[in-house]
Amino acid sequence: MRDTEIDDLPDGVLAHILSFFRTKEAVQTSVISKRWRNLWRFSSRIDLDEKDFRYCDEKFLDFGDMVLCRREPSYLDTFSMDCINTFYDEPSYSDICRRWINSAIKLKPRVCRIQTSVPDNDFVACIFTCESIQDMSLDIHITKSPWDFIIPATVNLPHIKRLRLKRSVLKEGTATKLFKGCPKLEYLKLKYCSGDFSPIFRQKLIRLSLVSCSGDLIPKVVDLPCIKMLCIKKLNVDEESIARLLTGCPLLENLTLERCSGNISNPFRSKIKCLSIRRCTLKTRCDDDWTWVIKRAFIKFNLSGDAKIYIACTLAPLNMQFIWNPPIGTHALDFRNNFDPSIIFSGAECLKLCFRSDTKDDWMDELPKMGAFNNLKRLSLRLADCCMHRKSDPVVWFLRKSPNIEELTLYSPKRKIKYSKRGNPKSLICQEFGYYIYLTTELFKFNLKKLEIKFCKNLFGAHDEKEALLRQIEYSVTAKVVISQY
Amino acid sequence: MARSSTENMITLMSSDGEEFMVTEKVARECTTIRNMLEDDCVITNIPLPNVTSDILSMVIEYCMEHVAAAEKAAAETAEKGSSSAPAAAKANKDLEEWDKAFMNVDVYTLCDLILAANYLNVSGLLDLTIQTAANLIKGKSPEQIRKTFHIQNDLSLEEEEKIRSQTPWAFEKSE
Repeated sequence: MRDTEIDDLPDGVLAHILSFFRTKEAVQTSVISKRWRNLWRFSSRIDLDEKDFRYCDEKFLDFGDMVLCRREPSYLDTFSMDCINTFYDEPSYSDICRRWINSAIKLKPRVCRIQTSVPDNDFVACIFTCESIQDMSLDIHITKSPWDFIIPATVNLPHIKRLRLKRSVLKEGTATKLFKGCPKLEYLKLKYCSGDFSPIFRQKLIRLSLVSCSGDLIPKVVDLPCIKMLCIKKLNVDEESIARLLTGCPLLENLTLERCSGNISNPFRSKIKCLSIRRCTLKTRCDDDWTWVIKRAFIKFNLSGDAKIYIACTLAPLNMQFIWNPPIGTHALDFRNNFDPSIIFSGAECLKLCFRSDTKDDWMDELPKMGAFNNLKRLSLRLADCCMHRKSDPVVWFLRKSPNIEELTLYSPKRKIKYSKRGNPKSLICQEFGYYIYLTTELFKFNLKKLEIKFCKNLFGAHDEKEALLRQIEYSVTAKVVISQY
Repeated sequence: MARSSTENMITLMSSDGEEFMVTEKVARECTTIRNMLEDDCVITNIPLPNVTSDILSMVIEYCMEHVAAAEKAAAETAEKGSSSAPAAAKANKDLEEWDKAFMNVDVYTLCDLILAANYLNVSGLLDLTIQTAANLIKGKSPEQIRKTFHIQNDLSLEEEEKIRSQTPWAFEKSE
């Protein structure tokens, strides 16, 4: 019996396989054999990405016409067009742009992503009445006055579930019309948008993201009865608006605040499963207050076992990150400036700490002054090169301060270590191995049960080096030793 | 099997004449068979002339695993009143791992499975096999794709050159 070859598969199935690829990749298969020559034309995905056509604009336009306007009648699932510069630099091409959009809409795509420049809003009005669309992203640059991308008055997208809009203006009343025309909308993301957002906060959305938007953001009335995920980036929030927001979202599970300014102590009082606060600027400047906020988070949070909190705050002069995974308590800290982790994490059983390569020198010298981690059983340290040639070695320091430690995991630095002074550049990884071998001469003093050293993938050295290291460590430490890569 | 008394058993016959007894529930995973059953509910013996016994046994293995996973999830939901998210996530991950291991086959078998999944209309298996085939193609040069799938290049140099000249941008290295 003959083996089945890929060429025995029907055209429809092969076209389905090609639908997993960007158009450029699909077209590359045309030189495989005669059979494959035209298969890509039946792919249900079209990407017109100007980046693929860098040096041949005419060819790009021909190709776009070919795949859209002279397309073999077949099902179109995903239409994606990324042509901001093509149509921005050459206004005379605008007819082509209109033709492409119209042709694509006629093919009734399910997913539609358009990033382009057009002279006026009429060009894109037809998109908002394309009934087949379930998922849409629009980033439209209007190249003539009034310059703003305005949502048209008529919206009829009965099947749309996900909508992402960039740089659009929601005039008064537009948002209400938009939601009327999109009855099934579950996920809305607005980036660089402006206008009247208040109707957005009275919808049955499940996910909402507002990124770098301007205007009065959080309205007086918030009623988002279904919302589970909310993400707000680069906005001014205050205690009161956050409180309004949290009251209006009874089912909220996942809240992200990023680069927001204002007071963030409020989210700590809510019952959210996953809270992520990144790079927010807090009003409080005093270290004591900050400690209070975190401690409060520990006490106040009514989290289930799988809940996670990610916090990365900027609180001048303090900058820290931690990941907390109660009830075990996993924390990742980004050490900079003078911050004593033992104040906050003294009770933790499991700590995950990362040193950054830009960690200030003097902080490392401060290490010996800090308190103890009496409950700590599992410690994971991501090392930076600064850890490796210093008198006060953080690994040994942490071990000395953690009398009950059982498991230690060390992550090597991601970059090659730069040895500025004692330079033997022959084999840098060897020197790094040397560091771990030095460590083992210290480690035997501690009652470790498990030691794991993880090397970054691109630095994972030659096999015999690894074996040599493993033998050396096993020789001096009673713990179970594992060497792996990450 | 003890439970066969409560469930309808159906016999599937492969192209080489081997018979496979499966529960109706498992057989219904194949839309083609489900349609047959709905058209004619007394049918118990279904010949599948397009599927060989080794491939059919793999398709059945896939369907049984997925039916079992769905039943287990349903039972847990019924027991606890609501499904617990971490348990469901773990079950999903386990099934994904199983799928991944199941796809550890040579390209001939993969193509056979695609054909069978397409013919029997097992949507989950079709998606899985097609995704696997796509992963095998992804990032490869035409020459490497030919090698992977044992495809004969029947284009002459001139023909290949002509195709390349029609869409030269597609063959430029992206930065």
